[in-house]
Amino acid sequence: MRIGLFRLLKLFFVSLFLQASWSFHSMQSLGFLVITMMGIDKKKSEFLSQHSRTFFNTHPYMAGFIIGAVLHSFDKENSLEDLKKHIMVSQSAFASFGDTLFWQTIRPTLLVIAIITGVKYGLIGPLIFLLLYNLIHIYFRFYGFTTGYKMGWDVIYILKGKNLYWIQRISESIGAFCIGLLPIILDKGFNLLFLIPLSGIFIILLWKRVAPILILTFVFILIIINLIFL
Amino acid sequence: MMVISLTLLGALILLDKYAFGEFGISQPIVAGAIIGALCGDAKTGIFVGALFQMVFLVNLPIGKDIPPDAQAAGIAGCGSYFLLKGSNQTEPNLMIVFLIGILVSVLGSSLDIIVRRINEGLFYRFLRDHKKLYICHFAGVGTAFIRGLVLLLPLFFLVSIIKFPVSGAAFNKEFLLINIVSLGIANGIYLYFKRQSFYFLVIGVICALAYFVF
Repeated sequence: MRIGLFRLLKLFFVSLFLQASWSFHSMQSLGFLVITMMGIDKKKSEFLSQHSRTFFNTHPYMAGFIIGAVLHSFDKENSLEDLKKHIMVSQSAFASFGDTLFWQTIRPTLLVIAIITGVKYGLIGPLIFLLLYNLIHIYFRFYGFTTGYKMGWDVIYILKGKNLYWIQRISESIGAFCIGLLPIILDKGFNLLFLIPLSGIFIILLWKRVAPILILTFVFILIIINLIFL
Repeated sequence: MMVISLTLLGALILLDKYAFGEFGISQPIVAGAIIGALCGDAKTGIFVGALFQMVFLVNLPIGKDIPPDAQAAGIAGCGSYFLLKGSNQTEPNLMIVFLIGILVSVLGSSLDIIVRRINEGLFYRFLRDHKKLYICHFAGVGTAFIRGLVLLLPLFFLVSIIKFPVSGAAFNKEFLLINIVSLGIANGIYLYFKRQSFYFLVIGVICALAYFVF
């Protein structure tokens, strides 16, 4: 079962707007409805009346897996009664996995690489970030639609796969290495002894889940103390 | 003219935060490079963007959480840097730029909440009339763009007319940088502190030490 190139491109383009109308009450519901309506040919009004109040929120790069599976149900003319249940279960699973994979691992890793190479060598840093990051998430978006459409609701088992686990592990290792390497962006004349206690204090604040604005206020207080006393 | 062009560019870049694509263009280091290139100094733009990037490395928009607006902070910080450079004709004070960025990050998240409430209204409008699905959804792009304008236009206008003191530029750079790199390292350790990646962190530290020693 294949989704078709034109339909895939259309879905991909509209999926770029998934979060355009994000709101606290419905989250990505409108985006989900728009993408699904673009993908289905028949039963459009039936779908809208049944699912206009369907709550939808998942990771934007992983939404394709779920929408692909919804389209699979439509094209196979499966019963639409279980659709809500499947959407509820899979959106949380893909959201949690996407947050960990993209927001907590791949994006920060590539950003740290961009910071080091950008400060040292200029434009090459942001370009490396844009190229690698977009290659990965655009691949995931396409892969999501095609796999979701092919596998139907079994697509959720893809999260158990070893490949995604290894992508995450490798990305974490590279990120950890680059974090260790981060001080090289400072000039050699700087007093690096401050780095260790300051990093320690910030780590404690982060682990204690202190609000980001308080951490930033703390940075200001440190600068003002230094300005007055040192 | 520069205020208008920076505001429009900033508001367009801010669409990438969630309204369109999420290609990473709005990340401070990339936005800094774009704004820097527009102002004729991409390297400085990248440097200022990298500062904000380190501060906001752990910035996770998970579920309903609205973290400080790192993207707006980066754009406001870089834009202000170049406006100060143009209007004050002296080396801009990094500390003031940093302060502006942080304030905008807080303002930006508050505006995010307002925009999402407006989007809620769009959703209810759709519920009343299903034919308006596409209009209500894509109007969200407009609200996101207006948010960018509302946030950046008054700020850039103020920055372009106010003369800031420029004392202690050399001091600021060293101490501010050490603070921000420390925060970047702390953010990274917070993200990656796991047994399997700990060894890689240690190897990275050894390489950094070797760089400073040799």
